[in-house]
Amino acid sequence: MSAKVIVTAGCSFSTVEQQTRTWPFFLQEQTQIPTIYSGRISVGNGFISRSAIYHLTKALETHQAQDILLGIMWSGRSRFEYFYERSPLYSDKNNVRTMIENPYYKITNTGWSDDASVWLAKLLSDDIGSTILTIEHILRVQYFCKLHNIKYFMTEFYKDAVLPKDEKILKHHEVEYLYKQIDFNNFLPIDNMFDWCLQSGITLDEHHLKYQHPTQEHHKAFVNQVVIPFLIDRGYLNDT
Amino acid sequence: MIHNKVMNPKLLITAGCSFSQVPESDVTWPVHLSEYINCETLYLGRGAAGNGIISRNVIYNTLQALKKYKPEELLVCILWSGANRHEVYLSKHFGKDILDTTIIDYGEDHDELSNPTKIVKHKNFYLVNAHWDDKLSQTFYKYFHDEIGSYIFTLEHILRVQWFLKLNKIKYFMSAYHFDVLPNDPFHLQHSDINYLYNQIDFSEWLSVKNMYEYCSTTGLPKKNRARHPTTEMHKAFTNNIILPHLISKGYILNK
Repeated sequence: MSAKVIVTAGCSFSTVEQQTRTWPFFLQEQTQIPTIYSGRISVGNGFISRSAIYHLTKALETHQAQDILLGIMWSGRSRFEYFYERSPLYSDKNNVRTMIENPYYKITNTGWSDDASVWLAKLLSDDIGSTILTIEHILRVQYFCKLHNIKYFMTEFYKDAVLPKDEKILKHHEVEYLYKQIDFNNFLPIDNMFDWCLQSGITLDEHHLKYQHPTQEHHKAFVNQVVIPFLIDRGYLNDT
Repeated sequence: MIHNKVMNPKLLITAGCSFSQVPESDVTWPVHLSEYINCETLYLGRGAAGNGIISRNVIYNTLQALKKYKPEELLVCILWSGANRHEVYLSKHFGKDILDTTIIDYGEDHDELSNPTKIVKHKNFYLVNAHWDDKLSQTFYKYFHDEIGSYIFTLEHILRVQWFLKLNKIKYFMSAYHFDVLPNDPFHLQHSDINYLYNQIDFSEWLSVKNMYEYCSTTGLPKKNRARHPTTEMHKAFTNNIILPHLISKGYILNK
């Protein structure tokens, strides 16, 4: 049975606003199912998981769980955000994101030069620590969906940026017990979207190659060739 | 009508901060509870730990327990800690100026109670507390602490454990050690980023008190030197008057 509402979440690869059309837009276009676009540029997996759970919680107020479908494309584990409504850094309005109604989330990225990013890079950019946090965000959403019987799919935006591929990290004692809990049956059958785009045969122009982002054509093909076949195979969408 | 047969757990898992630590200078509630039920007990309480450490400890150790026990043989008991307590995972020392941390050391016999601390092995989790004057804590609270943000983190830790336990069909109870665990005023409770999380907590699995500290202050029992910490007698009263009646009424343990 097809869903009656789709919740989508992710970073810039999943952001739909104004002229920006990514896979959630084309998923909506193809399925004609009302879709919530909660993807936001540069956000990390804390923001993504929170957004997904918030919108799913709202969707459950008006829909049966079996009528809801969640699609998440996870972001880089080195990206963080923190709620900063009353923090000492509130005067810095750069790189803030709105999850519900106000721009309360300050986002940081390793490599950025603002105070918060520099300190965050020193304090939180530990790769094991980042991996722990990202997997906990993935698992929190997974637990939520399974407990509520909500259908979902997940995938990664970029190679090695979300979940590490290095066996040394995956076998690390603080990581392994978390990683083993991820239900990869609900992940799309690809490594990550960007690698899929590179192998798709669709040209990546200089601009998109420089910024390592898929074109609209890639997003559309990704929906048609990867997402929808997966959803039909799972019985999450009617094959019409 | 089918009645589930009430039985005592075979393994008790208790978690929290110093109010739930074993050993402590006073005999805390996990010991009294364990003595009543008379079963193997895993004491995970850690002084000064925040809810990130508590939630990770519970999930990791429950997963380990599930290798040996059936879900119905476990009982998880959690007294959540202050929302403004956090931790940072660091694989390497970056230098004294950052990693000047507040050391807690109970010696080799109780290595798990130290700061830095561990979940599985190797002590790479560094606790930060708002009133500590070490550089790690001061930097953390200067740049990243926000009261609402802290409540969001705590609610997410609570919900992650709640959902994990429910999915695995494991019996549990939760409560708060003090007033600063859950948001409790209208401003915070109605805040849009808090409200949708708070409303998902299953309070039917919580003890019938606001928090342990408040309960202790109503018992009339004498306080001791550490005014913010309950005495052995208070822990015993809390176990006998609050925890046991809750567990018996839920059918999670036998009524002796």
